[in-house]
Amino acid sequence: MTMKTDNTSFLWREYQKEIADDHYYYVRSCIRQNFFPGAEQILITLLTKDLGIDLCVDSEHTTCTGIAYHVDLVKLETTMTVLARQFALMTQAGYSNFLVSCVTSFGLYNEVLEIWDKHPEIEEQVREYLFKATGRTFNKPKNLVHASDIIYKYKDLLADKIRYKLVSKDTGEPLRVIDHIGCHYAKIFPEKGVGGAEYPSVLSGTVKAFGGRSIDYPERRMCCGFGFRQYFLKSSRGYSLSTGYKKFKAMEPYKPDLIVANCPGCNYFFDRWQYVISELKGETFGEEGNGIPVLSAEELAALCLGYDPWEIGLQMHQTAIEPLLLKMGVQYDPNAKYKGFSGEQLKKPKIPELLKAY
Amino acid sequence: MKKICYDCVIVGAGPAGLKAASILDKQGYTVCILEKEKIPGGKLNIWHELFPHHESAQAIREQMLAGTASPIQTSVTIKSISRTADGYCVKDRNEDEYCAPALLIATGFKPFDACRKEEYGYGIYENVITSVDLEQMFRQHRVVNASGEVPGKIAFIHCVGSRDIKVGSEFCSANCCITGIKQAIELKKMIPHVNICCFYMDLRLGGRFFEDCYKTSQVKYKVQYIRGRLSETNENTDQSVILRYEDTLAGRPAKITVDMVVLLVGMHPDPSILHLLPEIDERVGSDGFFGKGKIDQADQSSDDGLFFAGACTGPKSIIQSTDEASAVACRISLYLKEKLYTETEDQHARLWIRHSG
Repeated sequence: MTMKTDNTSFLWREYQKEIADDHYYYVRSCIRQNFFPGAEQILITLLTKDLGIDLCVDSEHTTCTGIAYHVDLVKLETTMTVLARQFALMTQAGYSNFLVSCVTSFGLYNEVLEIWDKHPEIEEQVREYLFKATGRTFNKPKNLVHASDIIYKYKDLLADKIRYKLVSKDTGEPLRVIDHIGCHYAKIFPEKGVGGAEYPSVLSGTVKAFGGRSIDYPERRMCCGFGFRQYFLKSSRGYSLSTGYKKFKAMEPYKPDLIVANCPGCNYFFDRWQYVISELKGETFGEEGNGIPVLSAEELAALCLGYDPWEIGLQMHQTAIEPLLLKMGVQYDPNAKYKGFSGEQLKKPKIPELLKAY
Repeated sequence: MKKICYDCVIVGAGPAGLKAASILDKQGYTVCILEKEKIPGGKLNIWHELFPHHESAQAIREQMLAGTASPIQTSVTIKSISRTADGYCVKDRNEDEYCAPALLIATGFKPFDACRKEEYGYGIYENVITSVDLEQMFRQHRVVNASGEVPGKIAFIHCVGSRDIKVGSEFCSANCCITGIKQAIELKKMIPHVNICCFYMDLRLGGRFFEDCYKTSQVKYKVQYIRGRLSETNENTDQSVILRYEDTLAGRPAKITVDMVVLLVGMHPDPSILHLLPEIDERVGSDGFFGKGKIDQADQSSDDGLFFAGACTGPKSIIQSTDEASAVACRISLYLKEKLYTETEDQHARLWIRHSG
């Protein structure tokens, strides 16, 4: 159901955060590099090639420790010192705008900067820790943004270049898109997200610009099910799965064509849990035994711009994205799905019994 | 363009303004009331019945209007308020001037704009309405949901825009709890089979007979009260509304589906008059209402002829508003006597002689 907000003035609706135009120091996402490496790569390509943005991709930076921090494996002081080191690398490279690929990291960077802002003595202590350990000093970033913020900022520019709109090629109707915002994007600090915490427009705005229709559904703001302690502690993994199941059951009546998320964790869990649920409960949530395809904001932008789905790594998705490609009329070679860069045929994954695969 | 001089100009023809006018004009002062709306009566025009005795708002309005002989100028948009040697001059959009030694501000309150509490879905979901919207339905004697059906289950949400740091209003509006109870009873009288639950933080029922009203709602009308804070609303495909809340007595999150949600919106200061008043900042409290709420009320009974009464000095019931207006009218009367009259004494009685001009 589309929200009836056209005549309503909202406090946050028009809220735009500051997003710098250019010159970013880029920090990657640990989990996305492993699960969806194509998404990480295509973001760099989109920013540098399609948008001509100056991006510093640094092999020296490390994890932000976010997941370990959230499951209490790493102390806050350690986390803050690691983050301080990333800022030191940014300072050393001559940048002051900080671009974060991961929503968990984005929340953590904001949290630490907020702590330092409220407690300068803690910042001083961390500066001391970092200097003693590495001899490094740092400036805090002038502008801290998430990858989906930049896609949002340049959505109209990208929309002018797109080859495939988010429109059904058969009916001409806008595709129905579930936009899922990672919890740590704006729920902790609403002013750090485009449009605030309740109805962030960072993804829905992009979806609209690309011709799609954003769907409002009952569990819209609920967690994807990742919830660090839910998933990483094996004893509570059932919470993770049941939360995911609740989300899918809530969105199912609205017949979504696509889920788009801005968080690597959400992308992963929406994608993988559909397979797990199909095996456990025999249920699938798309049409005719298909799952609901799941894309990240940059995968969506790249697909619409006409990048080859296999070049941007969409074969790494366990829930097949072919139903979406067919609806959008994307031209692709089904036989090239599992070919390596040099053209050799790679091994194909086993076809699941229930969740439809191509 | 005209200029008329009075003894007192009152801005706002709601309960406070009308009450003050009725006292002042009975004491022989010339009073003019300026009202921005098309008809006088203030919020009485949007309410159906009044707590705690379910009196008709319309009847109270008529009674109050009958109580004053002062002229009421309606549809007045004030352009400026200036301080003069003799008092104040209020200029409207037509350049008409209303001047007086005493100016009483009785501009009332503004209901909280529920759209600001985005997560509750007002303005997004058609079956989420406010207590003000519900009063309109009562006045039309027709309570139906967006699809025109009589609702079977209704939830009242207390403290919407009150005691909420997230929307920048930390004060208690004092009247929403009893309004919710009154409306729940009215609903049960109108739709006997309707199932009503009220979600509250704590019930603040400080007024006379409020507790009786609360008890009646439970014992006679079976209204259910859940101590719980709503986190968000969502809409089902059939437009029924899902409430996600924490039951704070049970200490667990819960969900409930209802046909209609009524948000009990708080009383907020109306800032529209603020920028027109000269040097007013120090007479506005941190909550945005006029006055500082101190016992001596020095800031509400000034020596410069500017007075405040009613809900513009803080959330109030109609009784409290008219009580304050009566007290302020007495202060205005004393002020005007000093300003306009000379006291002479003879052996029988004090005499007050009005200055000429």
